[in-house]
Amino acid sequence: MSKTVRTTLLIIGVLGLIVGLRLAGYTRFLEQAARAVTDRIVRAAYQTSGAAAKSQALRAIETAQCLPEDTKIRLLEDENAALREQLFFLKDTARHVGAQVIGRDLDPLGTTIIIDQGAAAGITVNRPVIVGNGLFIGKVARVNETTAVVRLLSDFQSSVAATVANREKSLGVVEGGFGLTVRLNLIPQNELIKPGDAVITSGLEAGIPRGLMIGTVEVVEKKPQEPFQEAILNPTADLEALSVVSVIL
Amino acid sequence: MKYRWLLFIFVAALSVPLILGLQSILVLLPAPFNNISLPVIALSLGLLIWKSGVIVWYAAALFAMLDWYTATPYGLVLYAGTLAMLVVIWLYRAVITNQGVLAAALVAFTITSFFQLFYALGRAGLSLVTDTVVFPGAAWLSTYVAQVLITVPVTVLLYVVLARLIPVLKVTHTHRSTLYG
Repeated sequence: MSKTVRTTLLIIGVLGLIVGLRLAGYTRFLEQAARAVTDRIVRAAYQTSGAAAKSQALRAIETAQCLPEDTKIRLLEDENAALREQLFFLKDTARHVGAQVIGRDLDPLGTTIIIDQGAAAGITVNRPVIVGNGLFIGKVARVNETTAVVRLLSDFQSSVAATVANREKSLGVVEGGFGLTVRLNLIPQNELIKPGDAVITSGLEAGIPRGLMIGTVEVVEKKPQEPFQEAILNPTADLEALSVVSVIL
Repeated sequence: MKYRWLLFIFVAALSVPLILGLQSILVLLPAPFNNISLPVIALSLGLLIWKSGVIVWYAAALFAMLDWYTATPYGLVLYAGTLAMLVVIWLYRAVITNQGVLAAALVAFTITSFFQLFYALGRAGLSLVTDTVVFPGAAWLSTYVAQVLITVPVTVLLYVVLARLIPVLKVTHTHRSTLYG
Protein backbone atom coordinates (compact mmCIF):
# COMPACT_ATOMS: atom_id res chain seq x y z
CA MET A 1 0.00 0.00 0.00
CA SER A 2 1.48 3.34 -1.02
CA LYS A 3 2.11 6.17 1.42
CA THR A 4 -0.55 8.36 -0.23
CA VAL A 5 -3.25 5.70 0.19
CA ARG A 6 -2.20 5.08 3.80
CA THR A 7 -2.30 8.80 4.61
CA THR A 8 -5.68 9.19 2.92
CA LEU A 9 -7.13 6.27 4.89
CA LEU A 10 -5.61 7.64 8.09
CA ILE A 11 -7.20 11.04 7.52
CA ILE A 12 -10.60 9.54 6.68
CA GLY A 13 -10.30 7.38 9.81
CA VAL A 14 -9.43 10.36 12.02
CA LEU A 15 -12.37 12.35 10.61
CA GLY A 16 -14.67 9.39 11.30
CA LEU A 17 -13.33 9.23 14.83
CA ILE A 18 -13.92 12.97 15.37
CA VAL A 19 -17.53 12.69 14.13
CA GLY A 20 -18.18 9.44 16.03
CA LEU A 21 -16.78 10.77 19.32
CA ARG A 22 -18.82 13.95 18.95
CA LEU A 23 -22.03 12.07 18.23
CA ALA A 24 -21.38 9.87 21.27
CA GLY A 25 -20.82 13.01 23.37
CA TYR A 26 -17.24 12.22 24.38
CA THR A 27 -15.85 15.49 23.01
CA ARG A 28 -18.38 17.68 24.82
CA PHE A 29 -15.88 18.94 27.39
CA LEU A 30 -13.30 19.77 24.74
CA GLU A 31 -15.88 21.42 22.51
CA GLN A 32 -17.31 23.53 25.32
CA ALA A 33 -13.85 24.75 26.22
CA ALA A 34 -13.07 25.67 22.61
CA ARG A 35 -16.49 27.18 22.04
CA ALA A 36 -16.12 29.39 25.10
CA VAL A 37 -13.57 31.22 22.97
CA THR A 38 -14.99 30.84 19.45
CA ASP A 39 -18.58 31.68 20.47
CA ARG A 40 -17.36 34.94 21.98
CA ILE A 41 -15.45 35.82 18.82
CA VAL A 42 -18.40 34.98 16.57
CA ARG A 43 -20.80 36.90 18.84
CA ALA A 44 -18.49 39.92 18.98
CA ALA A 45 -18.14 39.85 15.20
CA TYR A 46 -21.93 39.69 14.73
CA GLN A 47 -22.62 42.41 17.27
CA THR A 48 -20.12 44.82 15.75
CA SER A 49 -21.47 44.18 12.27
CA GLY A 50 -23.98 46.31 10.45
CA ALA A 51 -26.78 43.79 10.83
CA ALA A 52 -26.71 43.93 14.59
CA ALA A 53 -26.38 47.70 14.56
CA LYS A 54 -29.54 47.83 12.48
CA SER A 55 -31.49 45.95 15.11
CA GLN A 56 -34.33 47.85 16.67
CA ALA A 57 -33.18 47.42 20.25
CA LEU A 58 -29.71 48.78 19.63
CA ARG A 59 -31.09 51.58 17.51
CA ALA A 60 -33.41 52.55 20.33
CA ILE A 61 -30.57 52.55 22.85
CA GLU A 62 -28.21 54.51 20.61
CA THR A 63 -30.90 57.06 19.79
CA ALA A 64 -31.87 57.35 23.42
CA GLN A 65 -28.29 58.21 24.36
CA CYS A 66 -28.25 61.29 22.11
CA LEU A 67 -31.73 62.69 22.68
CA PRO A 68 -33.18 65.01 25.30
CA GLU A 69 -34.73 63.60 28.46
CA ASP A 70 -38.40 63.77 27.39
CA THR A 71 -37.65 62.01 24.11
CA LYS A 72 -35.76 59.31 26.01
CA ILE A 73 -38.81 58.77 28.20
CA ARG A 74 -41.07 58.55 25.16
CA LEU A 75 -38.73 56.00 23.55
CA LEU A 76 -38.58 53.95 26.72
CA GLU A 77 -42.37 54.04 26.93
CA ASP A 78 -42.60 52.76 23.36
CA GLU A 79 -40.04 50.05 24.09
CA ASN A 80 -41.90 49.12 27.25
CA ALA A 81 -45.15 48.85 25.30
CA ALA A 82 -43.47 46.59 22.70
CA LEU A 83 -42.02 44.35 25.40
CA ARG A 84 -45.42 44.15 27.15
CA GLU A 85 -46.99 43.23 23.82
CA GLN A 86 -44.43 40.43 23.39
CA LEU A 87 -44.92 39.35 26.99
CA PHE A 88 -48.71 39.17 26.60
CA PHE A 89 -48.30 37.20 23.43
CA LEU A 90 -45.90 34.76 25.05
CA LYS A 91 -48.11 34.45 28.18
CA ASP A 92 -50.67 32.59 26.08
CA THR A 93 -48.16 30.09 24.79
CA ALA A 94 -47.10 27.10 26.89
CA ARG A 95 -43.38 27.77 27.41
CA HIS A 96 -40.73 29.80 25.70
CA VAL A 97 -37.04 30.59 25.93
CA GLY A 98 -35.57 33.99 25.13
CA ALA A 99 -32.30 33.91 23.22
CA GLN A 100 -29.81 36.29 21.75
CA VAL A 101 -28.59 35.97 18.17
CA ILE A 102 -24.84 35.42 18.23
CA GLY A 103 -24.16 34.99 14.54
CA ARG A 104 -25.15 33.70 11.14
CA ASP A 105 -24.50 30.35 9.54
CA LEU A 106 -20.95 30.31 8.21
CA ASP A 107 -22.13 28.34 5.19
CA PRO A 108 -23.25 30.92 2.57
CA LEU A 109 -25.65 28.40 1.09
CA GLY A 110 -27.90 28.48 4.14
CA THR A 111 -29.92 31.35 5.58
CA THR A 112 -29.73 30.55 9.24
CA ILE A 113 -28.84 32.24 12.51
CA ILE A 114 -27.10 30.94 15.61
CA ILE A 115 -28.69 31.65 19.02
CA ASP A 116 -27.14 31.44 22.47
CA GLN A 117 -29.58 28.87 23.92
CA GLY A 118 -29.56 25.15 23.18
CA ALA A 119 -30.48 21.73 24.48
CA ALA A 120 -29.63 22.78 28.05
CA ALA A 121 -32.54 25.25 27.90
CA GLY A 122 -34.93 22.59 26.58
CA ILE A 123 -34.78 23.60 22.92
CA THR A 124 -35.38 20.79 20.43
CA VAL A 125 -35.32 20.58 16.64
CA ASN A 126 -38.28 22.05 14.69
CA ARG A 127 -39.42 24.39 17.50
CA PRO A 128 -40.82 27.68 16.13
CA VAL A 129 -38.85 30.87 16.67
CA ILE A 130 -40.49 34.28 16.88
CA VAL A 131 -39.66 37.93 17.38
CA GLY A 132 -41.87 40.77 18.66
CA ASN A 133 -45.58 40.15 18.87
CA GLY A 134 -45.56 36.63 17.46
CA LEU A 135 -43.76 37.23 14.18
CA PHE A 136 -42.60 33.86 12.92
CA ILE A 137 -39.02 33.89 11.65
CA GLY A 138 -38.18 30.20 11.34
CA LYS A 139 -37.63 26.87 13.01
CA VAL A 140 -34.80 25.33 15.00
CA ALA A 141 -32.69 23.25 12.61
CA ARG A 142 -29.88 21.98 14.82
CA VAL A 143 -29.34 21.96 18.57
CA ASN A 144 -26.05 21.94 20.46
CA GLU A 145 -25.63 21.98 24.22
CA THR A 146 -25.57 25.75 24.62
CA THR A 147 -26.39 27.04 21.15
CA ALA A 148 -28.89 26.29 18.40
CA VAL A 149 -29.12 26.99 14.69
CA VAL A 150 -32.39 28.52 13.49
CA ARG A 151 -33.38 28.05 9.85
CA LEU A 152 -34.99 31.30 8.71
CA LEU A 153 -38.12 31.49 6.56
CA SER A 154 -36.07 32.61 3.57
CA ASP A 155 -33.76 29.56 3.63
CA PHE A 156 -34.00 27.30 0.57
CA GLN A 157 -34.71 24.35 2.85
CA SER A 158 -37.43 26.11 4.86
CA SER A 159 -41.10 25.13 4.66
CA VAL A 160 -44.00 25.74 7.01
CA ALA A 161 -47.74 25.02 6.85
CA ALA A 162 -49.62 28.32 6.54
CA THR A 163 -53.07 29.78 6.07
CA VAL A 164 -54.20 33.01 4.44
CA ALA A 165 -56.47 35.36 6.39
CA ASN A 166 -58.99 35.48 3.49
CA ARG A 167 -62.63 34.37 3.28
CA GLU A 168 -61.76 30.74 2.43
CA LYS A 169 -58.93 30.54 4.99
CA SER A 170 -56.77 29.09 2.19
CA LEU A 171 -54.15 26.58 3.26
CA GLY A 172 -50.72 26.33 1.69
CA VAL A 173 -47.04 25.83 2.35
CA VAL A 174 -44.63 28.74 2.76
CA GLU A 175 -41.23 27.99 1.26
CA GLY A 176 -37.96 29.93 1.12
CA GLY A 177 -35.10 29.95 -1.34
CA PHE A 178 -36.04 33.09 -3.27
CA GLY A 179 -33.78 35.73 -1.75
CA LEU A 180 -35.45 37.94 0.81
CA THR A 181 -38.99 36.97 -0.21
CA VAL A 182 -40.82 33.71 0.47
CA ARG A 183 -43.47 31.88 -1.51
CA LEU A 184 -46.82 30.47 -0.52
CA ASN A 185 -47.46 27.37 -2.63
CA LEU A 186 -50.20 24.76 -3.04
CA ILE A 187 -53.18 27.13 -2.82
CA PRO A 188 -56.16 25.73 -4.78
CA GLN A 189 -57.00 27.75 -7.93
CA ASN A 190 -60.63 28.41 -6.93
CA GLU A 191 -59.72 30.30 -3.76
CA LEU A 192 -59.40 34.07 -3.84
CA ILE A 193 -56.26 35.64 -2.42
CA LYS A 194 -55.16 39.20 -3.02
CA PRO A 195 -52.14 41.42 -2.28
CA GLY A 196 -52.17 42.63 1.30
CA ASP A 197 -53.75 39.47 2.76
CA ALA A 198 -52.03 38.35 5.95
CA VAL A 199 -50.47 34.88 6.07
CA ILE A 200 -50.16 33.07 9.40
CA THR A 201 -49.05 29.61 10.53
CA SER A 202 -51.90 27.16 10.13
CA GLY A 203 -51.24 25.01 13.20
CA LEU A 204 -51.39 21.89 11.01
CA GLU A 205 -47.70 21.19 11.59
CA ALA A 206 -46.59 19.43 14.75
CA GLY A 207 -45.10 21.83 17.29
CA ILE A 208 -46.01 25.02 15.40
CA PRO A 209 -48.98 26.82 16.98
CA ARG A 210 -51.63 28.50 14.82
CA GLY A 211 -51.60 32.25 14.39
CA LEU A 212 -47.92 33.19 14.21
CA MET A 213 -47.62 35.99 11.68
CA ILE A 214 -45.51 35.08 8.64
CA GLY A 215 -46.04 37.92 6.21
CA THR A 216 -48.36 39.59 3.73
CA VAL A 217 -49.16 38.70 0.14
CA GLU A 218 -47.23 40.87 -2.34
CA VAL A 219 -48.06 39.26 -5.69
CA VAL A 220 -50.39 36.44 -6.69
CA GLU A 221 -49.22 34.14 -9.51
CA LYS A 222 -52.12 32.31 -11.08
CA LYS A 223 -51.62 30.09 -14.13
CA PRO A 224 -54.84 28.54 -15.48
CA GLN A 225 -53.13 25.34 -16.63
CA GLU A 226 -51.81 24.53 -13.17
CA PRO A 227 -53.82 23.03 -10.31
CA PHE A 228 -52.46 25.41 -7.68
CA GLN A 229 -51.74 29.11 -7.50
CA GLU A 230 -48.75 30.70 -5.78
CA ALA A 231 -48.17 33.93 -3.92
CA ILE A 232 -45.00 35.88 -3.21
CA LEU A 233 -44.94 37.03 0.40
CA ASN A 234 -43.17 39.83 2.16
CA PRO A 235 -42.09 38.50 5.59
CA THR A 236 -43.34 40.74 8.41
CA ALA A 237 -40.20 40.32 10.52
CA ASP A 238 -36.97 41.88 9.29
CA LEU A 239 -34.91 38.73 8.80
CA GLU A 240 -31.74 40.73 8.17
CA ALA A 241 -31.68 42.48 11.53
CA LEU A 242 -32.37 40.00 14.31
CA SER A 243 -30.94 40.44 17.78
CA VAL A 244 -33.31 38.92 20.36
CA VAL A 245 -35.68 36.05 19.59
CA SER A 246 -37.95 33.65 21.49
CA VAL A 247 -38.16 29.90 20.96
CA ILE A 248 -41.60 28.44 21.71
CA LEU A 249 -41.17 25.09 23.47
CA MET B 1 11.71 19.79 13.44
CA LYS B 2 10.92 18.32 16.86
CA TYR B 3 8.69 21.28 17.66
CA ARG B 4 6.95 21.38 14.26
CA TRP B 5 3.72 20.00 15.68
CA LEU B 6 3.81 22.44 18.58
CA LEU B 7 4.20 25.28 16.09
CA PHE B 8 1.30 23.86 14.07
CA ILE B 9 -0.95 23.73 17.16
CA PHE B 10 0.07 27.26 18.11
CA VAL B 11 -0.67 28.63 14.64
CA ALA B 12 -3.98 26.73 14.44
CA ALA B 13 -5.10 27.82 17.92
CA LEU B 14 -4.48 31.45 17.02
CA SER B 15 -5.67 31.55 13.44
CA VAL B 16 -8.73 29.27 13.41
CA PRO B 17 -10.83 31.36 15.88
CA LEU B 18 -9.73 34.48 14.00
CA ILE B 19 -10.87 33.00 10.68
CA LEU B 20 -14.23 32.00 12.26
CA GLY B 21 -14.69 35.53 13.61
CA LEU B 22 -13.82 37.21 10.32
CA GLN B 23 -15.96 34.76 8.33
CA SER B 24 -18.94 35.55 10.58
CA ILE B 25 -18.55 39.20 9.54
CA LEU B 26 -18.10 38.32 5.86
CA VAL B 27 -21.34 36.30 5.71
CA LEU B 28 -23.19 39.48 6.72
CA LEU B 29 -21.94 41.44 3.72
CA PRO B 30 -24.44 42.09 0.92
CA ALA B 31 -24.58 39.51 -1.88
CA PRO B 32 -22.43 38.52 -3.74
CA PHE B 33 -19.68 39.62 -1.32
CA ASN B 34 -21.05 37.31 1.39
CA ASN B 35 -19.66 34.49 -0.74
CA ILE B 36 -16.06 35.34 0.11
CA SER B 37 -14.75 32.16 1.72
CA LEU B 38 -12.04 33.00 4.19
CA PRO B 39 -11.26 29.31 4.93
CA VAL B 40 -10.53 28.78 1.21
CA ILE B 41 -8.32 31.88 1.09
CA ALA B 42 -6.47 30.84 4.25
CA LEU B 43 -5.96 27.28 3.01
CA SER B 44 -4.80 28.43 -0.44
CA LEU B 45 -2.22 30.81 0.98
CA GLY B 46 -1.31 28.29 3.69
CA LEU B 47 -0.60 25.66 1.05
CA LEU B 48 1.55 28.06 -0.95
CA ILE B 49 3.49 29.03 2.19
CA TRP B 50 3.87 25.63 3.89
CA LYS B 51 3.83 23.35 0.81
CA SER B 52 3.40 20.52 3.27
CA GLY B 53 0.81 17.87 4.08
CA VAL B 54 0.33 19.52 7.45
CA ILE B 55 -2.15 21.84 5.72
CA VAL B 56 -4.59 18.92 5.51
CA TRP B 57 -4.58 18.60 9.32
CA TYR B 58 -4.98 22.35 9.56
CA ALA B 59 -7.98 22.08 7.22
CA ALA B 60 -9.43 19.34 9.45
CA ALA B 61 -9.10 21.56 12.54
CA LEU B 62 -10.59 24.54 10.71
CA PHE B 63 -13.56 22.69 9.24
CA ALA B 64 -14.21 20.77 12.49
CA MET B 65 -14.76 24.10 14.21
CA LEU B 66 -16.53 25.69 11.25
CA ASP B 67 -18.98 22.76 11.32
CA TRP B 68 -20.22 23.87 14.76
CA TYR B 69 -21.71 26.93 13.11
CA THR B 70 -23.63 25.32 10.26
CA ALA B 71 -27.14 23.89 10.09
CA THR B 72 -26.12 20.66 8.36
CA PRO B 73 -25.43 17.44 10.32
CA TYR B 74 -22.02 17.54 11.98
CA GLY B 75 -19.32 16.04 9.79
CA LEU B 76 -20.55 17.12 6.37
CA VAL B 77 -18.48 20.31 6.19
CA LEU B 78 -15.59 18.60 8.00
CA TYR B 79 -15.42 15.73 5.50
CA ALA B 80 -16.01 17.93 2.44
CA GLY B 81 -13.38 20.47 3.45
CA THR B 82 -10.67 18.04 4.54
CA LEU B 83 -11.09 15.71 1.57
CA ALA B 84 -11.05 18.70 -0.78
CA MET B 85 -7.76 19.80 0.76
CA LEU B 86 -6.40 16.28 0.42
CA VAL B 87 -7.20 16.23 -3.31
CA VAL B 88 -5.84 19.74 -3.82
CA ILE B 89 -2.51 19.04 -2.13
CA TRP B 90 -2.08 16.06 -4.41
CA LEU B 91 -2.97 18.22 -7.43
CA TYR B 92 -0.60 20.92 -6.25
CA ARG B 93 2.29 18.50 -5.99
CA ALA B 94 1.54 16.53 -9.14
CA VAL B 95 -0.04 19.01 -11.55
CA ILE B 96 0.34 22.64 -10.50
CA THR B 97 3.91 22.22 -9.10
CA ASN B 98 4.48 25.93 -9.25
CA GLN B 99 3.86 29.14 -7.44
CA GLY B 100 2.77 32.53 -8.62
CA VAL B 101 -0.46 34.33 -9.35
CA LEU B 102 -1.78 31.55 -11.58
CA ALA B 103 -0.96 28.88 -9.00
CA ALA B 104 -2.75 30.88 -6.29
CA ALA B 105 -5.80 31.23 -8.52
CA LEU B 106 -5.76 27.53 -9.44
CA VAL B 107 -5.37 26.42 -5.83
CA ALA B 108 -8.26 28.64 -4.66
CA PHE B 109 -10.40 27.48 -7.58
CA THR B 110 -9.73 23.79 -6.98
CA ILE B 111 -10.28 24.01 -3.21
CA THR B 112 -13.63 25.76 -3.79
CA SER B 113 -14.63 23.32 -6.54
CA PHE B 114 -13.74 20.14 -4.67
CA PHE B 115 -15.24 21.43 -1.42
CA GLN B 116 -18.51 22.26 -3.18
CA LEU B 117 -18.44 18.95 -5.05
CA PHE B 118 -17.95 16.85 -1.90
CA TYR B 119 -20.43 19.04 -0.02
CA ALA B 120 -23.10 18.53 -2.70
CA LEU B 121 -22.41 14.79 -2.87
CA GLY B 122 -22.62 14.58 0.92
CA ARG B 123 -25.91 16.47 0.96
CA ALA B 124 -27.28 14.30 -1.83
CA GLY B 125 -26.28 11.18 0.10
CA LEU B 126 -27.74 12.43 3.37
CA SER B 127 -30.98 13.48 1.67
CA LEU B 128 -31.53 9.81 0.82
CA VAL B 129 -31.42 8.76 4.48
CA THR B 130 -32.84 11.76 6.33
CA ASP B 131 -35.57 14.36 5.75
CA THR B 132 -33.62 17.11 7.49
CA VAL B 133 -31.24 17.58 4.57
CA VAL B 134 -32.26 18.30 0.99
CA PHE B 135 -30.15 18.53 -2.12
CA PRO B 136 -29.61 22.24 -2.74
CA GLY B 137 -29.91 22.16 -6.56
CA ALA B 138 -29.93 25.61 -8.18
CA ALA B 139 -29.04 27.39 -4.93
CA TRP B 140 -25.88 25.29 -4.72
CA LEU B 141 -24.85 26.10 -8.29
CA SER B 142 -25.33 29.85 -7.83
CA THR B 143 -23.41 29.77 -4.53
CA TYR B 144 -20.57 27.83 -6.15
CA VAL B 145 -20.30 30.24 -9.10
CA ALA B 146 -20.46 33.28 -6.81
CA GLN B 147 -17.87 31.77 -4.48
CA VAL B 148 -15.45 31.12 -7.34
CA LEU B 149 -15.99 34.57 -8.87
CA ILE B 150 -15.42 36.33 -5.55
CA THR B 151 -12.98 34.13 -3.61
CA VAL B 152 -10.46 33.44 -6.39
CA PRO B 153 -9.75 37.13 -7.21
CA VAL B 154 -9.52 37.98 -3.49
CA THR B 155 -7.02 35.12 -3.01
CA VAL B 156 -4.94 36.35 -5.95
CA LEU B 157 -5.01 39.90 -4.63
CA LEU B 158 -3.88 38.77 -1.17
CA TYR B 159 -1.21 36.59 -2.75
CA VAL B 160 0.20 39.55 -4.69
CA VAL B 161 0.30 41.64 -1.50
CA LEU B 162 1.73 38.86 0.68
CA ALA B 163 4.35 37.84 -1.92
CA ARG B 164 5.98 41.24 -1.37
CA LEU B 165 6.19 40.56 2.36
CA ILE B 166 6.82 36.82 2.61
CA PRO B 167 9.85 35.61 0.61
CA VAL B 168 8.60 32.01 0.43
CA LEU B 169 5.64 33.17 -1.68
CA LYS B 170 7.82 34.78 -4.35
CA VAL B 171 7.85 33.10 -7.76
CA THR B 172 11.64 32.98 -7.73
CA HIS B 173 11.74 31.08 -4.44
CA THR B 174 12.74 27.45 -4.91
CA HIS B 175 11.69 24.58 -2.73
CA ARG B 176 12.44 20.86 -2.57
CA SER B 177 9.71 18.79 -4.17
CA THR B 178 8.67 15.65 -2.33
CA LEU B 179 6.83 14.16 -5.27
CA TYR B 180 9.67 11.99 -6.54
CA GLY B 181 11.23 11.28 -3.18
